[in-house]
Amino acid sequence: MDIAREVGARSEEADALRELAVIEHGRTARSLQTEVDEGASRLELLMTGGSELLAKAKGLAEQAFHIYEQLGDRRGSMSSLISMAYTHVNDPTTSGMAGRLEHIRALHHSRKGEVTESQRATDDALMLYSIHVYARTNAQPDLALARGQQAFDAAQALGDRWLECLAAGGLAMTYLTFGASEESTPWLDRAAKAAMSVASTSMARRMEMWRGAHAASRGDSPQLIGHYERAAELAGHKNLGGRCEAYSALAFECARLGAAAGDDALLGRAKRTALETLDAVRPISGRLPWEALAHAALALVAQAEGDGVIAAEEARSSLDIDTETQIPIHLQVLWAAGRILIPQGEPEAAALTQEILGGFSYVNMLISDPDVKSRWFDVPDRRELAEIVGFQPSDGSEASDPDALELSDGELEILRSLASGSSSAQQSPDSGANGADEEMDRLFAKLGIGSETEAIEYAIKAGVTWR
Amino acid sequence: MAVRVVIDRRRCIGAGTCLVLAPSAFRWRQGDFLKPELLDPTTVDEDVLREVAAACPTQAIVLEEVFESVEGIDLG
Repeated sequence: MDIAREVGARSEEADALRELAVIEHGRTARSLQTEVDEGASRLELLMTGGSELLAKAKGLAEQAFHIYEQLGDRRGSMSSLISMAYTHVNDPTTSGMAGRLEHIRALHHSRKGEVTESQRATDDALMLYSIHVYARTNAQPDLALARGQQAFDAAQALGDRWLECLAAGGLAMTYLTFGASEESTPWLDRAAKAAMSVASTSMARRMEMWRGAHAASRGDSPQLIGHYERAAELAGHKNLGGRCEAYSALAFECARLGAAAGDDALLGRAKRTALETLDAVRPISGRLPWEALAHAALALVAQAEGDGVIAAEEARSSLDIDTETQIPIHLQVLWAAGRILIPQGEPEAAALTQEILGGFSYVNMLISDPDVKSRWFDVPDRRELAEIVGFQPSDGSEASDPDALELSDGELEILRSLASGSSSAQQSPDSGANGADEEMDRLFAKLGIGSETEAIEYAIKAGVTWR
Repeated sequence: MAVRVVIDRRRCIGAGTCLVLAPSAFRWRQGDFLKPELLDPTTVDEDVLREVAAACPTQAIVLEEVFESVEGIDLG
């Protein structure tokens, strides 16, 4: 950076500043993650100065952004905007990611005049879809439903049948995450209708995977076997990943339903397909979630057959691989391992109990819609796991519904700004310090709180950061 | 026709969506948990990669069409 400044190379100076911002952010995130790993409360860290720690990284990204703007480098501007958003939200660890994505979307929207309206509409549809996927795969079904519906509408308006199909299928799968198979059905139908216009083998495979998951949620084993088998066939040898995905889902669901019904034929099918999965993944380097799922299936089969030793061994393998892949929240693996290792009093029972309790508390905080939350925790596998570890989900009453409190747009904006890392002095630059203070006092009175920290906590729990 | 996958690390914010959707094609970069890297993109078909690119929140996954196999990534 110093050399670039010395020779007046502005573009290189901006590149260096942005890279320094990324390094600075990574360093801070790593240090805070270490504190979390050592037992510190993530929420507490979030409340006590996460944004101050990230101020340096944010400042570097802002400097880069201004230089790129002066140079008219749109790609550079966007990348530094992303860095700014990344450092703007208080929580620099993984739980703040959905908030960061929402913030990037807001920043992108605010840059009027730099892109054409049609480009903006396309970008927005993709952004909505990406937030939907992130939320769906990270246990935030209410956010996934909101953004999935918007992505579907945006894709329809653009006439993009491919994205329409993906959004509809994603919504169908989101409903399944909290056991709502009936509400999932019409979205599956919409996906099928859009898929007819796309007519690709890959989309046909995706449809079979979705239908397989839908059949599994209804406990319809002949249907789920048929759909997953067709998905594996459509993947063929070229799409090895797709084949492994179908095999592992088939093995796990057969094991789950076979164990519940004491169905030897299903358990036998689960075992064969789990072994096929492990064979199929062998040519792929690295550890994969499909392996973890296959071992989880073998663990369930062994448990159903009364072989506690093999069940524990397979459950351990499943957990080890799952940890190694570092892919977020794999509840099926946790459920299988939890129901075997904890009641059997295996050496890892205490640590696993803590991990599951932590995961459930996290999801309990993330889902703000009380109905979705209650249904998410009422899915039979999760109810069983919650009983095993002694977890009681909250009913959401600790975070009052902002609609019921009739918060004004200005008050909601204060909450959003606070939760995204701005200080109170930055809230209403036009209304003056007194006006901002009065608005803040009214907000605190409505919420029955006495500090900005409590306001931030409320904003996160009630989900106003993304509403 | 072949497709080459490029991860634009300037845009990447480490949401991890690519790993969730295509875990055999992407993995976390060793020693840097904030960013992914390519594992083996030849294990999935081109449509899966397009889905991953669409689902990346910062559009950091770029697919480049090339007329010959590049670095063994031949999806044609």
